[in-house]
Amino acid sequence: MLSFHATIPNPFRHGRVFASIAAIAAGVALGLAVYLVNRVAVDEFSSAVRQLSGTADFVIEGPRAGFAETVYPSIAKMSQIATASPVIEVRATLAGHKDYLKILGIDLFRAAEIHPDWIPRLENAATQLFAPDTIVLSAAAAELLQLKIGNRVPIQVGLTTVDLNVIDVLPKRDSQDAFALMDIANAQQRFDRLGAVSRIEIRLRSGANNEATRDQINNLLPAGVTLESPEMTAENSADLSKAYRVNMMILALVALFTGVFLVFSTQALAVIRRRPQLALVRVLGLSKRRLIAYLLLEGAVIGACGAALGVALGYALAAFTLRTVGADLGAGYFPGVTPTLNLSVAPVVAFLLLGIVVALIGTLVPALEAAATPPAPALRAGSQELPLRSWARPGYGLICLGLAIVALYLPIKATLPIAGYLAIALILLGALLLLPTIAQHFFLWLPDAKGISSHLATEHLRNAHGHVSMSVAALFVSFSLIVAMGIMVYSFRGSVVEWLDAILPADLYVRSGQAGESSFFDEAAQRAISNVPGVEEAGFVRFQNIELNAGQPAVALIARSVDMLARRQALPLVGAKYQRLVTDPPPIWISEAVRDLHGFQVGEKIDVPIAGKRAPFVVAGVWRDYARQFGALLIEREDYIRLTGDRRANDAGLFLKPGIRADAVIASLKSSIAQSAQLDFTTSPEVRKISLKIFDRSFYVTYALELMTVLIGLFGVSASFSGSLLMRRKEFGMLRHIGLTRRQIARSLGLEGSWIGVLGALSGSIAGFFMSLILIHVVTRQSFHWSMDVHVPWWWLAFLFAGLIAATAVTAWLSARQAMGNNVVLAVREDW
Amino acid sequence: MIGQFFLVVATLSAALFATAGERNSYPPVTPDFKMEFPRDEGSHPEFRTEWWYVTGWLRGADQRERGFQITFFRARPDNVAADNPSQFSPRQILFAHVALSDPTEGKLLHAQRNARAGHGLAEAKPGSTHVWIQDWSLQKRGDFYQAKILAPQFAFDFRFSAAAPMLNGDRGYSQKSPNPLAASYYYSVPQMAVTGSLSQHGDTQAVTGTAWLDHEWSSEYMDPRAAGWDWTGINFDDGGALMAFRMRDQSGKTLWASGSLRSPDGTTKILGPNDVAFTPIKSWRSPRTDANYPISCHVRAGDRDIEMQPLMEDQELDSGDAARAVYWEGAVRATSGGKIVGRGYLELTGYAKPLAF
Repeated sequence: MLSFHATIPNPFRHGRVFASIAAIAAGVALGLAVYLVNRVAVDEFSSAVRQLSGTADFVIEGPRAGFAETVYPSIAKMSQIATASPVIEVRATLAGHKDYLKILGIDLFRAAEIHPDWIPRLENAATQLFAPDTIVLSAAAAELLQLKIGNRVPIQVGLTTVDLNVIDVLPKRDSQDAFALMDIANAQQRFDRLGAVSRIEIRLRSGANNEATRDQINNLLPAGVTLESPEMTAENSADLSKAYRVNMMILALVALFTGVFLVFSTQALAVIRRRPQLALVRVLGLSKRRLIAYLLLEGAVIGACGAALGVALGYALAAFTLRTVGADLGAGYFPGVTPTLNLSVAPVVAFLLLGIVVALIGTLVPALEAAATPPAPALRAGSQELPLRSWARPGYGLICLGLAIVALYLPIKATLPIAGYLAIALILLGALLLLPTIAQHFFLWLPDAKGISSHLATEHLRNAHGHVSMSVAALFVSFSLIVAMGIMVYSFRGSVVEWLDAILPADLYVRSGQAGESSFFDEAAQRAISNVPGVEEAGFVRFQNIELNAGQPAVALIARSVDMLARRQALPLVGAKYQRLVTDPPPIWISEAVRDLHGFQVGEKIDVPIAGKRAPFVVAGVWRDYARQFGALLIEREDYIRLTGDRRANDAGLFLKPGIRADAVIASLKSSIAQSAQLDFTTSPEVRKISLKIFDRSFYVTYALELMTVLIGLFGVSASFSGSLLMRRKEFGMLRHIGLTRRQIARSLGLEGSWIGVLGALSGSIAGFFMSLILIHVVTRQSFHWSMDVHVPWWWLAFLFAGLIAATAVTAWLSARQAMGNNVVLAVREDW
Repeated sequence: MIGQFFLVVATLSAALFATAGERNSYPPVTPDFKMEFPRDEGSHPEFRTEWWYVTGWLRGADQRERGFQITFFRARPDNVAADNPSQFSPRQILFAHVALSDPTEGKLLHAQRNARAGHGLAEAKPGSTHVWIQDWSLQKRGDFYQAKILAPQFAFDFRFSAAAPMLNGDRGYSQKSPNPLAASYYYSVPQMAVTGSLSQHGDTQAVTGTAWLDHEWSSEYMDPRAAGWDWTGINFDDGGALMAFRMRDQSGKTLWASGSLRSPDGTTKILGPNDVAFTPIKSWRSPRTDANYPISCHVRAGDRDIEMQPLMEDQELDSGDAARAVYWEGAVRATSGGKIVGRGYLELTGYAKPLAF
């Protein structure tokens, strides 16, 4: 065996093997990095959620506005309950700060039984916390806000600022959330939540955790208040980002998939190059199976090298990403989480294996081809130039495309867009199987060229199917994916721009505070705002959230004058509208996510838990909302006030009289409202700008991954092209002998490259367009419940198209110049 | 009695007691107060602290003797905003502590609860004894007290016949140190007959016995010279009763002592600092805290001389939390001339570490 190995040329002598290694390394690195970052993010987030719920068996969870505190004694008195700990949670607006501070109003005596880790320090602070406006910070909050014991934190309540005293900081713990503890009575008074609690954490007596107990508890709960286990909450929070994470992962695996293609093309060329040597070892007695085994081993070694490199790179990339962009890859899913990366064996092994498997898949076809080649003809000189057999299977290709259509219509009710991705994979596979046939017809269809260079190029394209198809395929795969992603992101962005235009009709927006929920406009402030000179009309908005179903994330509730929105065409409705009857209950407009997640239909009468009661509404329409992935409900503010008595507002949208400038209104607002220091003013162009900035930021990683795919694709073209050129050295020598100039040969190769580029880009664009439709109408819809309109980035596509053709032509031309060194003429003599 | 006070002090920490200023003011404890019943059996919410403390001996259907202790404390924090209308406002804090002394267990079984008053979950009612934290309660109902306790390791359901109260000190004004400002209002109800049931290890049995109730309330600080105290309450077999305590200073010397000795005919003699003396006979060293307790001692109280013999050695109580209130509080037999003459409780505090305020 060893002697045979010595006979077969070492594949590592050639640079393109390193291209394969690099491609696998890149794919593995991206995949591993995305995986690690995701896992870290989810682990941190769910452990933060778990820590927040302590040792509670269940958590009774209400809407943001809270629910009646009388639920607490009725639960606490149940004999099956060991501990019930009431909590009021307020996202306190930090005065003059972009962050909010999560304040947990607790009864320390009860909370200590659920959160033993809060006790040690608090035993001392226990009664100090009874004093008004005192808080204890978690270590994470102290770090985040750079506060220590004795400091004061300015918090905005309504429009006034209140200083809270930090009397203690909890001991530092891993992955602890940023929060502050306050006495529940003080929190209720300070944040005007008298009589309300946000949640009750409960621990059951041993043996009481059964269906009957849960039913009994549920019977005590008002509408919109649900009983959840901490696992459910943690799962919910992980679910929040699941679709996003899966999509990122698939994008990373696409890079690996293009890697397979690169391995395939280099290995195929390596096998062809070594045909005489392989034939020799076959003649010397190496069995077919051993030859296949040897070549596969070679592939495995390449895969292992690439994967090992990729794992190292992946860790580095993940660490870098976590440090710079954050655990959510810039998408904002995990606020307040500062993760650390730990080394673990399982993902390393998995991704090493994945790299090797990818290399083996890439090697399998060339290895079988090598074993199937009869040794006798292959021994002859020039056997390298026997064309690579075509993998054209147009029949199977068409079947794949058909299956792709079927996959799209499969009635799969999953939150993950499995069918969509399946369809995309089938389109890719089908197109790849069809490509050689298409290439053949395309090049036959090319007009007969006049010049000698063009003639040479056309002739070669028409006859060397195997090599040509491979180059076209490499381009096709990467280009189609780029086009698909490009159109999708562009459509998304375009739809977001349109949506922003629609939902931002007012000239000036005034927010009561920058973040958090403790700031608000009371009625006096609302009157003052409406009466500011220059303001034609002011629309006030109240944000709350409600629990529609146990086990599902809370849904945003927006109360504002929908009538005003409709009058100003500022409600981005999609689909059918409902003509309300006089006898109908008040109207509610649901976002697409609510429609998809809760299955409500236009015209349907639904009960919505508001202020602890079930209020009837009729679904008057579905609106597009890119801001809240878990859904939003929009109701008339009048109806909201009637149901809750809550007349406060968080935001105001101001329509100015013609000719009035926004800064003039801002100036008079500042002078007419007593506590205007905390007001946050934005004009709609500013909101638009900020929103799009956030949008672009959340697609940074997508852009980066796309770029990787392009590079790998071009790398593949270059590798397969220069490989095939090396094999054609004798052909070039011959051409030089019969009098062609180097320039003519280089031109011919450049043309060849351009045509390959044209076909690759054309086929890639067509497939990519269809794939983008799937991404838009199936994948995004299923993952995020967002519909969008198709926007095609023509300029960008044209640029990419031209760029790709140019890049291929240049690659071909450069490879040609390199291939035609001095010894080309001599290469003819290699015959014997 | 006051060991529990220590627990409250330690748990409520300096903020509750050491911070002066324009905080809530508490009524002073003065010698001219006249106790009235049943009014003063109930809570006195305006005072800083208050407790109801029941100890006693039980004899079960299994004919074994056990000691028990049930205590409810009330504390009024001084840093709570008086204008906060929240139902959660911690205007009154309640603590409960219960223990069972069973020689076969070898150590105390105990449990505690704490809660802010409110929402009907925990309360100390004025007017008549009625204090509870969820399903732990002590209530006077007509001519008896009822106590219901459901702890993880045991459960009590007791009735105590309400006997005539014994006013300690000067008609209930009980001085705790040479400084007359350190004082409390304090009465005891000795010789309460116990009936009811005790549950332990899942078995419930009927019990009878004799119990003792202390009810004490105050707003005053402890004398800073005090390092600890010894206290005892004994029901004599002849129908008499003795309450005696002494405050110790850092060197272990008696700083103050006092007592009440009731004769079988119901007349009570108040004992002054010179009438009461505690003399250790035998010590026991705790393997957990290394504290050395005089668990057996000779007590001279007026014309009575008795020796205390503990039901079992290890009746040390370590609250186990950060405040680490550690003291010995256990059932004792009173003997005289080798003969058992009564049963009651002995409390020894400040032996693990000196009290620090």
